[in-house]
Amino acid sequence: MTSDAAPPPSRAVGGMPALFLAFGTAGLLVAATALVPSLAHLTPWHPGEPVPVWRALAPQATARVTEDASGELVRAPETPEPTAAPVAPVPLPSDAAVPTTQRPPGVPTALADPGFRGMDAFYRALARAEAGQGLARASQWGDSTIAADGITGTVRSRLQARFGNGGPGYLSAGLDPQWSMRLDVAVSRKGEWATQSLLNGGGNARYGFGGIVSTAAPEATVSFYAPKQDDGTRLKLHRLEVWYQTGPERGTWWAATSGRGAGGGSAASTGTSDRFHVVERPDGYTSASIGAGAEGAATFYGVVMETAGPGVVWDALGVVGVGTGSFSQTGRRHIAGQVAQRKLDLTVLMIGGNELGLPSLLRGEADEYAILYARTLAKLRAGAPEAGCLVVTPLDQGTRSGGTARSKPGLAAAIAAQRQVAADWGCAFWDAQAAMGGPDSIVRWAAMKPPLGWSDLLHLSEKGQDIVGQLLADAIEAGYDAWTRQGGTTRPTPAAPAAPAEADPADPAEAGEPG
Amino acid sequence: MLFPTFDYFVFLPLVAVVHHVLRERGLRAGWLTVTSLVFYAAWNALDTFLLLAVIAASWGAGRLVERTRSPLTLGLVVVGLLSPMAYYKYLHFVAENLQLLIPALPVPPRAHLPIGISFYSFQAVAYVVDVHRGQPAERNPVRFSTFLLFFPHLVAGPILRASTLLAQLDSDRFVSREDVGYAIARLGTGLVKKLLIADILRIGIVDSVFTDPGRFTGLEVMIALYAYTLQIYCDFSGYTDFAIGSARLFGFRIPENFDRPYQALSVASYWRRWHITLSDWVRDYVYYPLGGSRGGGLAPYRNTFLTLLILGVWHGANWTFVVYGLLHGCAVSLNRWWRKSGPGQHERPLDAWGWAWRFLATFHFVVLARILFRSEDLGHAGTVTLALLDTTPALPRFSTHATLVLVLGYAVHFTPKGWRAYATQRFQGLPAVAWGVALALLGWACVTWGPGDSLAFIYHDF
Repeated sequence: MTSDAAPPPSRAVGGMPALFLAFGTAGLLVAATALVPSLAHLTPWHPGEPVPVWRALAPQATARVTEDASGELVRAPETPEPTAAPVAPVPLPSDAAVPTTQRPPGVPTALADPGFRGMDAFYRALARAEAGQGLARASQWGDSTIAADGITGTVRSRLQARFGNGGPGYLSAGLDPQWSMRLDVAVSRKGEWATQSLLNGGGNARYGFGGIVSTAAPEATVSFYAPKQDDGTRLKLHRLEVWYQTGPERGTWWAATSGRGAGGGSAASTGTSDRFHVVERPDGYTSASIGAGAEGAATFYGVVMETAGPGVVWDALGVVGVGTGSFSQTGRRHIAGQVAQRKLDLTVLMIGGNELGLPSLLRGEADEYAILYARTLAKLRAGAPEAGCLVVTPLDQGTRSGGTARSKPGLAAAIAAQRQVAADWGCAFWDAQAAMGGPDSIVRWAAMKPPLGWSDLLHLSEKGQDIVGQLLADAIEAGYDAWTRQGGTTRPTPAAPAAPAEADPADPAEAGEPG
Repeated sequence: MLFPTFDYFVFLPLVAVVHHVLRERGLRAGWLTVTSLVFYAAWNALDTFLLLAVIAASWGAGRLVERTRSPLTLGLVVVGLLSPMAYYKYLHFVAENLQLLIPALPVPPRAHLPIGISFYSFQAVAYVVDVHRGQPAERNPVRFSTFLLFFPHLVAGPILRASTLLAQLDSDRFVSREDVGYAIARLGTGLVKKLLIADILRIGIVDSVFTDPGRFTGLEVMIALYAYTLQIYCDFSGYTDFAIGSARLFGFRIPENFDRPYQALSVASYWRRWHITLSDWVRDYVYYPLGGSRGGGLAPYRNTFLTLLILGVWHGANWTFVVYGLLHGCAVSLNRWWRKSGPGQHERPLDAWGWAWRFLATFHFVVLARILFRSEDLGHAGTVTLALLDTTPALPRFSTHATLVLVLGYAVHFTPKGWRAYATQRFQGLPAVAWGVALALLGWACVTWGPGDSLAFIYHDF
């Protein structure tokens, strides 16, 4: 162990000029950034802002430790209340049902769904399931928020608890922590698999229903195991669909349920096309495997694993990092064919969190992003125009700057754009940021103990995702109950406006065989 | 006011310039006392009253102990000086656990922990004990206040002895050109360590894994442990760089706190390289008074064990720190047995294999013990440990940015110590304008690649 440093001998004066020169030079360079517009982001202080040093002494708005609504001690917000202009509240239609369950620090938030026009198809499917008939299928596309299957997992559990368990639904063959997760489904992979996603491209405009396409090398396999139930046994499933691709230089594929052969064949063809293989197992199965034969590779999109019903299936189709630009990579006819095969009752879209840096959003302009968002929505809905539609906004995301942390500047415009598109397209709308408590809520969520958000101010923790999932499930159930109270009346769906023209890239999927 | 902020880089040179302009020692001490109070009040003005009370009490106690030389007086004074820390830091924890045995016992609410209380309380105790051991008590309350309050070390150390700073306050020395160059080099090092390594690792890897360990593969959890190990080093040693650099801008030299701790070949050696001033404190005021390595049989092991336990619990009122201290106590005791009575007593100079296994064993012990250091409670530590066992074959999902920082950070940590001294020396030889340019460029690099704003230092919570 070292001892304290000994005092140095006295020295002559000599440091003052150096001190002035060094800090003066640094100060001048920093000040110069204010004069160069392209360097403005490097300026640590702008006229009109609180004076440095003095601002550090300003009294804090809140104590650093406080109690949350449940009495737990938590760290209070690090920042004062936001000073940004508040986002206009969503006007709720008269027949919207505001959930009453309190889930602090979340805020009960209703679906904005005038006349149930967005959710009617799904509510009808729920009513059928509640009456003991069939499955109500919903698919939620999204980014890392959905890839973690936290929000979707909670919504799935809640709705399945009430309406019945329809099974895990669609599972990408490339289901892997790298791209997306399903904590309720165990996955075992053997052999070599090459995966392309909407994010990294390379999928030749065919990324499948879940945005992920995987090619199995000869004899590579993947097995999916049904979710475990409360008694420890695995859920019995009755329907298996294998979604795969045929094309040149492909070998054979095969499928099995609970170790029993469930079909297979050649995946070779002159052109590329999408294929679906459906197997019914009235006696039930608990695991499904797919793979490539020894002769060559096979390309899979995924599998669908469902019960005979009644119940709810809520697909989590998240790919880390995607946004509207990613969806433009997938061919229109390809994705329409995939969606049509799924026979959806509800299309849910929750993206935008990766696009908040778009210059137009940073300028507070919603129009340009609204066009991009509408294109994506149109593309996904084209295969199931009769299905319901729900737009879910990005979660609150924050950024740190100038001693404070607050919501990203582009978020308000992104939410405004999505709200407008939802209204134009007859979709229900759910404001996830409002449900979290509005602007800057991510800062508060991340500061709680245990944390409800990660310190990157972008992602929610497992607990945080669960709260948002509960709030969304509350909103859907409250909407369904209100719909039921009104006799389940189906309102006429207004005609959707024409989708903004998308300059689709050369779409090999269009040229292939019909899928 | 956090060190790696624009506000601090305005505050620091202003205070230093005025300090050097003042020619009278008393005025300089008064200036440092006032500005240090301003610095501290920026966190929580109310906590300043407690800090002032501790300063007044320890100054008065020093005079009293000097007059009486009574062990009883010293004991009462030490208990008195540690009582605010005991109240704010440990009372709730102790009562909460006692309530398990005595259900009727009331549990006071968890108190807000005044920042720096563990550091200034230990310094106050060291001062009165040193006075009892013969060091003269400080007569001048302002000078004494300067010792405890001096803002570079106030919030998170290094833990100073009164003699270190008071002697330097006495001399009429002024800052030299080399001091300024050295100070800027250390401030720059602190910026890099905190904003470009520690905070990036925290946001990019560590926090997410420790928040939701079940969502990560075993490989990712292990990488997060390596990342946390580097993060906490860069966070705390970065703070120390700021402290040492800031003090040097006033011409003061304060002790080093780190000596490339992860290069250690034993856990005992690790504690001689990590948070050195705390290790010295517990050695001088706990280990030696307990008997140190004197006495036969198990006494030295008991002393080592108790010292490391106290060292662990100093970090916080949580069973995780109790177990952390016990683990390190076991490891240091085992190391002692190895050297004194075990196979190590006849050991020859280390060959490459001997060096490698000692390094790997020590490093991974430190890394794995960090689970306890970072976890909220023992249950959380168990969850993280279990997550380590996951064998899902998947590539780590951390950003390239954070992964690169992790690799480069460790690479720098394992460079020879002489390289840093050489680089600092070369930097000191540059013109002062170049120092300013370097500081501005570094600030811009931190804005561009860092988290946007500094996050709190880990040791501020202790």
